[in-house]
Amino acid sequence: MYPHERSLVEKYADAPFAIVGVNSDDSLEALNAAMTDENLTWSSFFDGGGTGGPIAVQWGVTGWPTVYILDHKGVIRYKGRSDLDETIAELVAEAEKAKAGAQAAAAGAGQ
Amino acid sequence: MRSSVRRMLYYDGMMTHTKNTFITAAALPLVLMPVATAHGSALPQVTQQHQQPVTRVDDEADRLIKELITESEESDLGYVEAYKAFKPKFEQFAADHRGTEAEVRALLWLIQQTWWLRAEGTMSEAAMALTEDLLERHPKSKQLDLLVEFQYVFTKEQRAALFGSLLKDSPHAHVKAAAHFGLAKSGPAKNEDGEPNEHYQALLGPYANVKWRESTYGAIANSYLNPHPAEALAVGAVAPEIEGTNHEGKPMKLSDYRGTVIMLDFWGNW
Repeated sequence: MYPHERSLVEKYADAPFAIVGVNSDDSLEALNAAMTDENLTWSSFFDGGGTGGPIAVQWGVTGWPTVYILDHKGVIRYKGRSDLDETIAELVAEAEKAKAGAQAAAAGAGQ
Repeated sequence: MRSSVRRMLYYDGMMTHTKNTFITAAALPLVLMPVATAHGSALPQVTQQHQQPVTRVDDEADRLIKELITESEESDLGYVEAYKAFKPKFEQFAADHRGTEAEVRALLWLIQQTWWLRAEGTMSEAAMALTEDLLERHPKSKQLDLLVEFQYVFTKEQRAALFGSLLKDSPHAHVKAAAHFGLAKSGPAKNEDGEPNEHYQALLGPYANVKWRESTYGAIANSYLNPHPAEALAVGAVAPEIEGTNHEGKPMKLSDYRGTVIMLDFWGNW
């Protein structure tokens, strides 16, 4: 899945989009090695050094990878493992529209 | 060799696994059995008149057993075939290194791998026979917390008795904490008044700072006692905050990313 994630990062380099990982590798060394070896540019929470770590337990995650997509307001808009691209494209458009709207409103207020 | 394509890791109800290694799932259904516990980090009173066996540390043997485990994990054989091929090697290793922590590790591998006997219906019996020998000869080993990691090979009744005996007999806080963790998850997390069960209380109290993998028992107990309800994780809900640390140990928060679309990716380099 890394190539897919890398392509998303490239595609949305200038857009309001970020990958945030929750990593369940055994050690910080393993996480750092994965980031270096696979050229991963996004940040991850280190979840306690294994599956069943505190974040995964609180979120009820029992299968990896598990993916949530959140919109720019932090609302969960998608949960699953496939068909991410459409959801992301839709939400990035929404986020950009919201940003443009906010800028227009700010410009309007400034006049 | 690591593949650049991620393997799926899955949870089959007892444990999560990938290729030839498996990782215990934290959430296991257990039954709570009342067990007399010695809270706190005070050493248990030794009642036996005879001297208890002491498990020696042999650095060279430790190195060799790690190599053997790695070799078994990297084997191209299927799970069951790998178990059958490596079982005699671990048995021989244990015989050759009697009295050492390396022997304990070899015995623990044999106990863990009895999982592959479950189809034959002999898993728990085989696991318990090995465990009884292990506990008799190595009651003070510092690796007995792995018995809690590998608890899926035991029956519910065996687990309750086993964890109870670890609590009573081990001089090590991290072994006692593991036993409390196994027992904590074996019954209702909270009573009618919303109080955590006695084992979670031990993990939140005297054992809170004992290391659990790269985290602490306090943190992991807290996550079991406060899981996000389904509605908080449903589409349409504002995602719960996550506060943690990144690959450099620096603090990070999910809400730091507010204003952007987030792909929240639970992953591991399997």
